[in-house]
Amino acid sequence: MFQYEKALQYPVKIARPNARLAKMIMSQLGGPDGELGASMRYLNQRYTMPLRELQGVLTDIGTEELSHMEMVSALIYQLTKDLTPEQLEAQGFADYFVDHTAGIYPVSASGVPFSAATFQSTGDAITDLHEDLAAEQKARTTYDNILRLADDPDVRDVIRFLREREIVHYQRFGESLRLIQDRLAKYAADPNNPYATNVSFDPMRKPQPRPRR
Amino acid sequence: MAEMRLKSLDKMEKDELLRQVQMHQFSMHDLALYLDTHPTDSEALEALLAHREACERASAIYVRRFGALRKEQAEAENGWAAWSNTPWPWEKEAN
Repeated sequence: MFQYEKALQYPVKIARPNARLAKMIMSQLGGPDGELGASMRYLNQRYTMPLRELQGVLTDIGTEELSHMEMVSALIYQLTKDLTPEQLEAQGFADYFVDHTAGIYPVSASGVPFSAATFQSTGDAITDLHEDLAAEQKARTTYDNILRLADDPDVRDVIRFLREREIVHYQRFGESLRLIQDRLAKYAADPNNPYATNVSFDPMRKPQPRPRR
Repeated sequence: MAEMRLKSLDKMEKDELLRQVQMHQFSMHDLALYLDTHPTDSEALEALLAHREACERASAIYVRRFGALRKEQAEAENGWAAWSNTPWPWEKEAN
């Protein structure tokens, strides 16, 4: 069950509207490596993750990504608030304005609507965790690119917070993969070839003695 | 000492006090993520519990002075509007 807390994870208080910047940041809402996809990836993958503590990692990080989605949406909302149609057009927002006015809708910076095809849930713990590690790095790169283009200090402060969280999540997923692999070495049919087993699907064997070298 | 702390929370502006709640909540969350992959680290668990205590203290004062952060905290004396008709988190005024 999810319950709503009426506060952002980290404050968003933008002094100057800037629709051009909003359009770039939009990618972290509805783009291929955005927060919506991140949240859906982890919250869908968690059911078949074989270790309970790793179901916990996916639940906690997936939930945090929902909070990040809300922060990114708050950025877009405040950056496009109280602008006239003329100002929105002058700031390169006309195409979005025609379809969505100043409403929040998940699209990438290049205008492609959000798609579940941007993420996977393979039902294989090793594969999913590698996807998760890659996803955190891709989101980090997107935030780095936004930081290359954004000059508003209020926006940069929030983006830097979000960027740092990608790095922390990457660390936690790395530890998760390590935990799974430690377990695999005990249970896999061939401890030297862990990829021969899908630990999320194949029946677990009794722990096998480690081969002597 | 605890009393001094309580007094200062009582005098804080709305945004300052919310910042206290957010800071402790974030620390709890980040430690929880760490504990997911390091479940036997008792030092991290103690740190989490210390932040939880501080969070509950700040949060109780915030709710009393400025309204609920979760629906179930809504109080009869403030009315439902103290939850539903105060700035939502995406508004500049709420931050």
